[in-house]
Amino acid sequence: MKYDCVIIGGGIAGLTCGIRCVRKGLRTVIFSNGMNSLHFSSGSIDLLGYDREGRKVHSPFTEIQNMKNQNPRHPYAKSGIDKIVESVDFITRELSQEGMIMTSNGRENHFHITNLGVMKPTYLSQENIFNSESLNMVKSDCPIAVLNFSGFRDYFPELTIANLKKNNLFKNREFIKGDISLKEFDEKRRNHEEFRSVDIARIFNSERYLNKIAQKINKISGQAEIVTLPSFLGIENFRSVNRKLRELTGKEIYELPTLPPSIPGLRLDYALKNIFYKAGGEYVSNDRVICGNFSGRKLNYINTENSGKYGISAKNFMLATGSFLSGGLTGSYSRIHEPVFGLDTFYNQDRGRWHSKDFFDKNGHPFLSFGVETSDSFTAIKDTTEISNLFCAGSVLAHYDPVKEGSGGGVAITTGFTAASQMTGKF
Amino acid sequence: MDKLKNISFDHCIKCTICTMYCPVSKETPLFPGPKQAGPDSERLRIKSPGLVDSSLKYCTNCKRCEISCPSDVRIAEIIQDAKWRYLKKKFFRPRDFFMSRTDLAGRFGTLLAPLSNFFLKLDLMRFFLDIFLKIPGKRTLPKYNRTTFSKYFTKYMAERQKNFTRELLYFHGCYVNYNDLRLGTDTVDVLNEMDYGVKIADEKCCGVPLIANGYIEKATKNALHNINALSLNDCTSRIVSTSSSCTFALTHEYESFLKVDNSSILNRTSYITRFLYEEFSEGNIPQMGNIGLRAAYHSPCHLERQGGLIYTIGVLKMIPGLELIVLNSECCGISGTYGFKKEYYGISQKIGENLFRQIELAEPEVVITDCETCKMQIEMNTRYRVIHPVSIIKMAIERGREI
Ligand SMILES: Cc1cc2nc3c(=O)[nH]c(=O)nc-3n(C[C@H](O)[C@H](O)[C@H](O)COP(=O)(O)OP(=O)(O)OC[C@H]3O[C@@H](n4cnc5c(N)ncnc54)[C@H](O)[C@@H]3O)c2cc1C
Ligand code: SF4
Ligand code: SF4
Repeated sequence: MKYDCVIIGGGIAGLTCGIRCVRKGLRTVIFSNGMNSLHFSSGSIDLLGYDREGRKVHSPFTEIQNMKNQNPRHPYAKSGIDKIVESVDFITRELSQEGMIMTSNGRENHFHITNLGVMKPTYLSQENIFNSESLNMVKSDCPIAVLNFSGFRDYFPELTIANLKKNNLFKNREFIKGDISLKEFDEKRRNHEEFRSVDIARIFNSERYLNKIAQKINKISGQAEIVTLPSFLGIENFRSVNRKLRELTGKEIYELPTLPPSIPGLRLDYALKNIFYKAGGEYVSNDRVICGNFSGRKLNYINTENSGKYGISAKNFMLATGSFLSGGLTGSYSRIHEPVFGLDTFYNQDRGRWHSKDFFDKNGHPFLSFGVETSDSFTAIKDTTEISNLFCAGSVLAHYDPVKEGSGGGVAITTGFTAASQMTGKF
Repeated sequence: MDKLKNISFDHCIKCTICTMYCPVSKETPLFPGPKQAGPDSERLRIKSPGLVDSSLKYCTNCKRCEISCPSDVRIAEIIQDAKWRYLKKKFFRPRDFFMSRTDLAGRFGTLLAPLSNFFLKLDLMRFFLDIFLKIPGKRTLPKYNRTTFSKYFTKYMAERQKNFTRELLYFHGCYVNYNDLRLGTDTVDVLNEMDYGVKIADEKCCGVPLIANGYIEKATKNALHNINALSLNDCTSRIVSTSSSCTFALTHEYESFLKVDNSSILNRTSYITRFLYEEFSEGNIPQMGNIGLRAAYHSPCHLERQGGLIYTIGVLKMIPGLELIVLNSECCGISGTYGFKKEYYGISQKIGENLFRQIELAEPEVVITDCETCKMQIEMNTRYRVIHPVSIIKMAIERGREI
């Protein structure tokens, strides 16, 4: 039995590629071992947040245009502006059909507000995440209530308020701080000191206590028209939870992305997987791809931990195994490896230059831009030979720094989509 | 320090992803979740073994936590192990004893069928089970065959197996033996159609229900017995099973959890659809007719844990006229004997709700799944009949003959 397309790695890059391929009628399977980086991300999709000097970017496409000359090996330079626009629009459309509306600011960046009260440039954020556009919805002099759920130890409203006050947009706002507590839950939970965002998200998701919660919110927040809470307002039911809370309180309710595990990231992951399933894709959630069989410039089949003596063959393959955190790249003392196929990688030969001494260095850590080398059309290179039916996408790629540039989600989507176009074009 | 056998907890990066995906922590705050019950507490339990507590019992061993963990921590195994240390401290538990002896219960059930089927339906009897054995009265219980599969096979099917070129061992498991004779005979028929003669071994319960209920010594005994029986006379034939959970025990849990050497059967054993997939790939495909059926497919947790999903889907996609809707991967909630226990019945039903809703939305004619207990759970909670993939192939073969 043969697939048209086998994708290794079920992160945002693999899923984007997979959705595109099944939509084009290809028989597609994704192999993934463990959950992806979306569970750590904010759930917003960054395209390009910062320029080379570390300044916030307002017009990502203008900046990307410049990139072509500055760093021609950058994945954005290889895909080109048209493909980036096409990919981002494609995924936005797919997500909205699945009920996940993403806020954007035309072709410009907007700013979402983190749990620390910091404004971060991003391209697409989930509609109920507190962002720079949200302020347009309310009177300029109304206070903002910054609330928490009592027992949730990963969040400090005071910090959010202190940081927001440093910002011109919020300088003159009045803030109200408070905690929502639910007696029912405190008693039931034997160990409520251990509340994690997931636990609270489940309370909201059940919708059982929304009336009570709404009453408490109204009591604490007084005149405030905007209420923020950490992003745990429901998982699968987040849309209905948000809508009901807004109706019940009569206020604009927004979420602030929390520390991992990230509920907005989880929602995005659910939505993408659902789209892929519904379109007819096959997803193997617990199998590691361990090696491949090559002849000349072609990858014939791959083997997984469970595949035994029969490999899995396909016309085209795609490597989207992520970066160091996901096991897509590994580092030994002097080298960077791509562990599945042993593809050619790019890294600095001088080990001393892999990371910067300052953890928060504005210039980033060089190791973050290490990864696999590819041709201009994202085909893999093994022992300096181009493999014509193996493509690479996402954070396994070299020559960009997702953290310094704020480009992780955008590069993953663009390269996943571009690789898919190459594959579907071949039929 | 007697056991430090599973030190995978050391790889835990504390990301809490496992807890996000645990169907039990979704439904009840009484279970602290895989991260806390597994790697977090294991650290402490190693120092003070007395720390095991009763909340561990809520874990259904569905293994979804392991599927989601990015660091390969064998969370469910850590929990099972600790749970067993806790349970061992307690005395005779009549219900758990009876329930985990699927072969014992099965032998009585079959011997007395249809009497037992009749009684199991009686309200009075259900009431008795509820009060004395804490098996909830609302629960549908498995029906028993009138004869065991192994007896039936020996009497009516064994003889003709010599007529085929190749040979195969079939590990039928307790469910086929006592409750689903039809699946057993369908399997033999399909394999015969592919020119495989079938043999059965003197097997005992694979041990899954024993492990789940903390009878580890008995499970280990069964494991040794089965490995011997399947390797008798240096047998090297391939072994197939129609139960995803039995297969998981034979190929994974014997070695990793019970610490029994299963190398003599490991490479020969596969879940049936995996075997069929490989045979089909080599062109050994039985003659099938257009089945004209719309079916929803539910993937059992234990099949997913073994990476077996693509093989079942691969095989099903080759059946002419089968319109397949693959449901999102979601736990049905029953987890073997778990959903048969009064204290967990409510949780078990709630876990399954999402899946039942999905099935209703898909509007199929039948539901297909690989696992016997998923089948019971789905049949009890939806209006659909649930069929094993092998029986679907058998139907297609029969359809082919009609023409
Ligand atoms: C803490 C953090 C926060 C971030 N926040 C943001 C943000 O707010 N916005 C944004 O746009 N970007 C953000 N990023 C960056 C962005 O999340 C990543 O760049 C992007 O998700 C990468 O996606 P991917 O598909 O390439 O890889 P991943 O999401 O890492 O997926 C790789 C998958 O492949 C699997 N895998 C690996 N090896 C194998 C194998 N051999 N066989 C089978 N499967 C395998 C892994 O288990 C994993 O599931 C953040 C990153 C981090 C680390
Ligand atoms: S998913 Fe794995 S690594 Fe993460 S907390 Fe659970 S056990 Fe630890
Ligand atoms: S095995 Fe299932 S029930 Fe047990 S902790 Fe893991 S996910 Fe939860």
